[in-house]
Amino acid sequence: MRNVFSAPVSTELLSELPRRRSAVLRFAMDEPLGALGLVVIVASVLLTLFAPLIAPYDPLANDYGAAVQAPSALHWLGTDSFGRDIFSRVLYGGRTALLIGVTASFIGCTIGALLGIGSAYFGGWMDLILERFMEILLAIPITVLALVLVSTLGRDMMLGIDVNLVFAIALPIIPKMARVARSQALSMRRMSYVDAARTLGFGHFRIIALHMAPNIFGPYIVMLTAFVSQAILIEASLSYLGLGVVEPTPSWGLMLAGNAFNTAMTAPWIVIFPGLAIAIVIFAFSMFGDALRDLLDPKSNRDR
Amino acid sequence: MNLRHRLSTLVLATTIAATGTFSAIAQDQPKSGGTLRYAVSDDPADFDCHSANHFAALMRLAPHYSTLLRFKPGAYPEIDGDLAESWQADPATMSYTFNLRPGVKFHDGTPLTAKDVAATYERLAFPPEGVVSERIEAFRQIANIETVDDATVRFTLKAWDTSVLGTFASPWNCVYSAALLASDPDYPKRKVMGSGPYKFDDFVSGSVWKASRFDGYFRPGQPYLDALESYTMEGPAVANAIQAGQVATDFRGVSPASAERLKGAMGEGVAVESGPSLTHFLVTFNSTKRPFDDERVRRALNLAIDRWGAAKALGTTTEMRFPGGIFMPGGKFASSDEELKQFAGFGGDIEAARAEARRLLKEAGQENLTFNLTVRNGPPIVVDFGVFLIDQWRQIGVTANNQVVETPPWAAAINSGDFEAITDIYSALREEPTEQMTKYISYDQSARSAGRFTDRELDGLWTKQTTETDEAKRKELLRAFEKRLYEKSYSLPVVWLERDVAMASALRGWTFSPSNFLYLDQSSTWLAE
Repeated sequence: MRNVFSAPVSTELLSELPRRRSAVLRFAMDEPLGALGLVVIVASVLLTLFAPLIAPYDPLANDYGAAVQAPSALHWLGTDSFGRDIFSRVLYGGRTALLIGVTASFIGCTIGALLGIGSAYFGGWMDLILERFMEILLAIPITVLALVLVSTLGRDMMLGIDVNLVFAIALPIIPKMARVARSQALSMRRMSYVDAARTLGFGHFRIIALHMAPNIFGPYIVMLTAFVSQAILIEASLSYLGLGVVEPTPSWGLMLAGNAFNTAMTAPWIVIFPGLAIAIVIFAFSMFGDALRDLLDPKSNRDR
Repeated sequence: MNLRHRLSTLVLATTIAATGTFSAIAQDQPKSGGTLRYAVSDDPADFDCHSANHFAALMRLAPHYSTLLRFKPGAYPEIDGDLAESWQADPATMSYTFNLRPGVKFHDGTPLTAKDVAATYERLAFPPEGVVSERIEAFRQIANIETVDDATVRFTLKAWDTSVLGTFASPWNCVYSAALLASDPDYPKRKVMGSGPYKFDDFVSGSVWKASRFDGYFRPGQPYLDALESYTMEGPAVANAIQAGQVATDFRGVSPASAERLKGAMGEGVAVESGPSLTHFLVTFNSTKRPFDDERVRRALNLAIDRWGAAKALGTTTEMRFPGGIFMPGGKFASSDEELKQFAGFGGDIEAARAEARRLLKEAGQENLTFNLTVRNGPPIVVDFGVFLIDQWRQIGVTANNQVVETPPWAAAINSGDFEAITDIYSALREEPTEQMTKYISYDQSARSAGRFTDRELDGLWTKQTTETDEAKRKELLRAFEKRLYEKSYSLPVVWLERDVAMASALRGWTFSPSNFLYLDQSSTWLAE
């Protein structure tokens, strides 16, 4: 292992910097929309992380004297029917969207990837059963499946997150990721390095986790990014339908629900800004996901 | 403009609107024919009027049944005969005798007689094992029900009580067939068979309830419509459906914002009737659970609520318009603003009240109180009310977790007492303290009272006022009841609603009233187109 303190740091690192910069620049040049998506994602994460410092008002504080006010210097994006500052609620709502979106996507993709690889690796009856089960899940529309799960399971709060909501959003992601992982793993199963690992007597888990899983990291990261946007959209849809996050917690979907619809004609800012936030973040994740796929998919690179 | 002026203006506006409507009706002769399509926000749990407690059930069931008396269309709160052609009240013998109309028939063609009325009221006042009579406390004064002959029925009371007349006019007290009840006391749960203006045709859960004209209805010429179709929908979908002409109205009403939107979009194609409502929002604490068994905690939570500020602010965007106690603000039994301000939780200085609330919580060792507030996932206004309360309590350092649940688990929580604090909505039929106060007396006296408390002082005041014939003395008892209730803070009235009913202009003959339980049989409703 290189000792970074004794190695000739200055020259090595300095020579690496332009290389890294050029890689970022190349990505920006090759995938300008993806780079723009990445910028928006980073900005969203920073804005939501530092929301307590940026938000001018407490997102939960009702101020009935300032109810339904149009955007102004005092309230940049206006206020809702409770007099709550929409800018502050959009910022905090981003926390809900990103937290649930990223967590659900991570859980769904990770479980899906492991099931997909396992299904391909073991083959036989296990592959048959898992695949049929995944097909059943895939046959149900993603929002409908989440809707059924949320309304059946109810709410179970843990550390401020509704665990059942995250599970309901993650479950429809699992079969999609599993299919991708399985198709990649099928070609890997007969590779010499997997045979070698098996010959050396490595356990199934070790072969799957250490030798096969790293080789689908590319598709995994692409799917993970793509599903974040889908998870955010499902969270917003469920909250809009009254089955996701509950008032007064800020959530973009919830901000579009309830009386917002009725007041939208006279106070359009109440629905425009959370709607825009959903659209921008979903668009950013989709663009970044597409760019990553183009970058990491060798077939896609060859075609270009 | 203060509250009294606003209310007076509203009452005046309602009267003018109603007068206008009646004169329009007088000019227009009712037309027969057509199908009235309207929205209802929920499905009934079953088909029994006597056990139902949800207006959505009554909206579906009322057109199929007659009652002994009724609230006279176009003349709320005047009471008129429905099945009864006339009646005699005799304070000396403490009895009411009702003479029934001749020739009334049930939808199956069998004649309706005094036996059917007697069997119905026996079921309501003295329900057999397994039968639920939801408003049983309204019949507590009935000692005996006697069939004098086929057309006469007599009720003897335990004590003289004029409020019982309203009970006989209640649309919940659907008259059932004695013969069918004899074979199965629970038949109304599964079968709709009455003597009302419309016969039951079909019900598809979550979708539509269909009814058609009963040609044998006892009022000559009525009903005017060929058929009724009520569709299950709620929230913004209702206003959209009215605008699109898919339904003519939702008799319960729409939000003020929806009403404004419809007026803007439909112009003369829609008529909106507005007025004070006999509906209010309340919050109830479970007095059997810690820390709500401590009076100081309940009182602190009461003091933290800024009712005057709430009505002023919430009223700009929702129908939560009027601060008030347990009686309709501006009504004949309500406390005046000055009287209200003397009660705990209604004072004019909210900062002083909140300082006192913090002191009480500290004294009770509950400075960082956290609890769950159960809220029904109903129309947006119901959730808005929960959000309002949570914000009010947040201002004294209390964290209330919003637990929004669907109607069945919410109703189960109320019935089983499985809640810490729960929001509720109470709609009365009329301005009648005996009925309205049942929401706020001990649980063993009234199943409607959700707080699970026992307070014999409150019960005693309630009982006394039922027989007090001197109006001034009765009001004194009512004020004493309110004072004790707000001090003990078992269950708290917070804000009263306005009622805005938006109707397609072709819909005529229906009567607007402060209660959304009345005039739902649609016997006098007709369509101009």
